[in-house]
Amino acid sequence: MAAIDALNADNPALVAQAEILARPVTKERRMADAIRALAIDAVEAAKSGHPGMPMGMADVATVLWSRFLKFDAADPRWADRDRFVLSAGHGSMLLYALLHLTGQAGMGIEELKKFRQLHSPAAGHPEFGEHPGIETTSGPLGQGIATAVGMALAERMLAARFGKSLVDHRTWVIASDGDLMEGISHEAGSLAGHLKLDRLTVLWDDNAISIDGDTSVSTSEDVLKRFAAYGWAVRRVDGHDHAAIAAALSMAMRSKKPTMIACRTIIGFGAPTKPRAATDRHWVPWRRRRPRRRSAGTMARSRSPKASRPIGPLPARAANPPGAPG
Amino acid sequence: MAGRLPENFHEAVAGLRGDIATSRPKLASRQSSQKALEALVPAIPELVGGSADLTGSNLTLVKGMGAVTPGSYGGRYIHWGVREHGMAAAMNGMALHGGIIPYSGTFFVFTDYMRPAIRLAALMRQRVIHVLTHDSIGLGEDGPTHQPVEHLASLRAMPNVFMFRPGDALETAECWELAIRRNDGPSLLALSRQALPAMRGDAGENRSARGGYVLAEADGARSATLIATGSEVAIAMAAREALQADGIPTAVVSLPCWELFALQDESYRADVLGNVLRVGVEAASGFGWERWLGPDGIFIGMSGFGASAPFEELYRYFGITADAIAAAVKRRLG
Repeated sequence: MAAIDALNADNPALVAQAEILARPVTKERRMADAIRALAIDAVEAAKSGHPGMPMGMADVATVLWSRFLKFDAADPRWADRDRFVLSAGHGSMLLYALLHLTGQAGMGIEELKKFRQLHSPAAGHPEFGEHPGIETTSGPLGQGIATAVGMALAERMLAARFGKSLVDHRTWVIASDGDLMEGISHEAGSLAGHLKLDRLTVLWDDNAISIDGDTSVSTSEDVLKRFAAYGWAVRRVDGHDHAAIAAALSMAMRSKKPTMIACRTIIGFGAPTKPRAATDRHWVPWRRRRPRRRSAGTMARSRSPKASRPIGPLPARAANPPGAPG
Repeated sequence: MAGRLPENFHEAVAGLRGDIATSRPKLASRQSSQKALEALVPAIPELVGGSADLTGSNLTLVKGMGAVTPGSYGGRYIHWGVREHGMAAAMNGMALHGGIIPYSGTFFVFTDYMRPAIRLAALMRQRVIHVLTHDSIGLGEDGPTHQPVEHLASLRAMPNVFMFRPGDALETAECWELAIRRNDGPSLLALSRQALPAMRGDAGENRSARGGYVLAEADGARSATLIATGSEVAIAMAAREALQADGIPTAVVSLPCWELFALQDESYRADVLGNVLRVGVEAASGFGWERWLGPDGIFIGMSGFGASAPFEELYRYFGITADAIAAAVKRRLG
């Protein structure tokens, strides 16, 4: 354990994680932890998949599904349900875990054990038609957020025709950094802002990690300013603070504009030694990391704190500790 | 929400086909598409249209639809702006949501911008319809940046897409009917900018439903079969006339939807395509045509990018003319 403690001291993400984990355990935290555990086990069993995103967004997803999302687990195709789109489809275990934990038929533990296997409803990426709770196929980044714009528009159009007593629901999206880098997110964001699709909320998993490394290797835009310019209401929250998440979702429910909520998260949250240590948790299960192409020394680089990321307990991103698993 | 078509749908399309068969209008197929929409939009409340800033060119708007505007969603027409990719993906969302059958409009060449969303519609088996006008060098002066060449072949290669290319007003109405009836995948309609003469006067049966059919049988034992789609069907008909005048009995097959044709039984396909010389005619890449022409067929079409000029001149320049077809047939038959 001494080695791990030494590592923790060097890794601000682990320090932040330790602080969050030290908070009193609530029922919601336990549900989020269950999501994390299911994501780890499924990816480990399949020997492929992406545990980091479900672990990072488990708290946000728990608050959304337990307090805000309108759905009927016994009738997942109920016409007036809220639509939930996992645009970050690589984190498919997040959706499968939610369907499982909310008791939906057809996503039992046996199905989760067959994650990514032939004929399993728990496919590598969410596949429309594999389970009634999967609203759309996603995985090609950006498609989910744009598809959700169409769902939100359809809701408004049908509400205008048939009235609020029949059509009165919302569209919720969980999107990743990659979703927002793809060009289609610009088209979709611009369109939703123009049309004032106020029933649309995007929860951005603002973990600042991409496959090639920290997102700073390829992007430096202010995403919230971009969406504000499209006519969206924007908010930034600590993606592990349930009360803050709930407050932001309440704001989204009241907003007269589409809403973009940047959820600052630690990718792979909850893992004892891995969170934010490097990018590979996003990409492959822990025991099957792709071979390093560069030495730890060249991968490590200093990163200055970003003024645009003011979340309290989360640290500025730090360099990989030399010699840390990467 | 259930996705079933209204009961009066059949009457609406039968009436439309009857009108066209009687009046036999010479129209660009994009105009024929508008004519079809004028009948379909009032009959199908779920139908919601739009265009990526090309409404006047795609002819996708029907009087009385009303536009969706910010904060006001009672209309049935969406001005998507120049956002083809976002449009196609959002249409997937509308179809997935239920209660709406979305159709779009843009130039055929811009399917390149829409491809990832079309692919997902095909994968998810969603009923979305894309009206894709200016479908070949027939668009003329805008030149090669706007002239699709490889797009038919590439979209025919995509699983579960119905790629329609109707040849006249009646086929356009038939293809529209098939696109709307299809509830398990996307339909693409490639339509011409230039006017196309009416080829048929029979409206009893939707002949496009079999994907391809003998439009004009040879007078006498067939010596050659000309197989064409869209705007080249009329050119093939003119070539047939010239060949028959020279004593070469020639049939013309119209092939508006390869995917539907491929679903027919083999004997039907063999009868339609015939066992004599087959000549494919399409103002596009020949990639894939060997499927219908066999190893000994002739393809008359494009072998590279187009050019900027009036469309009649382009057809002559690239050798897609009745004379060129007739000459190729005669050369081969000796």
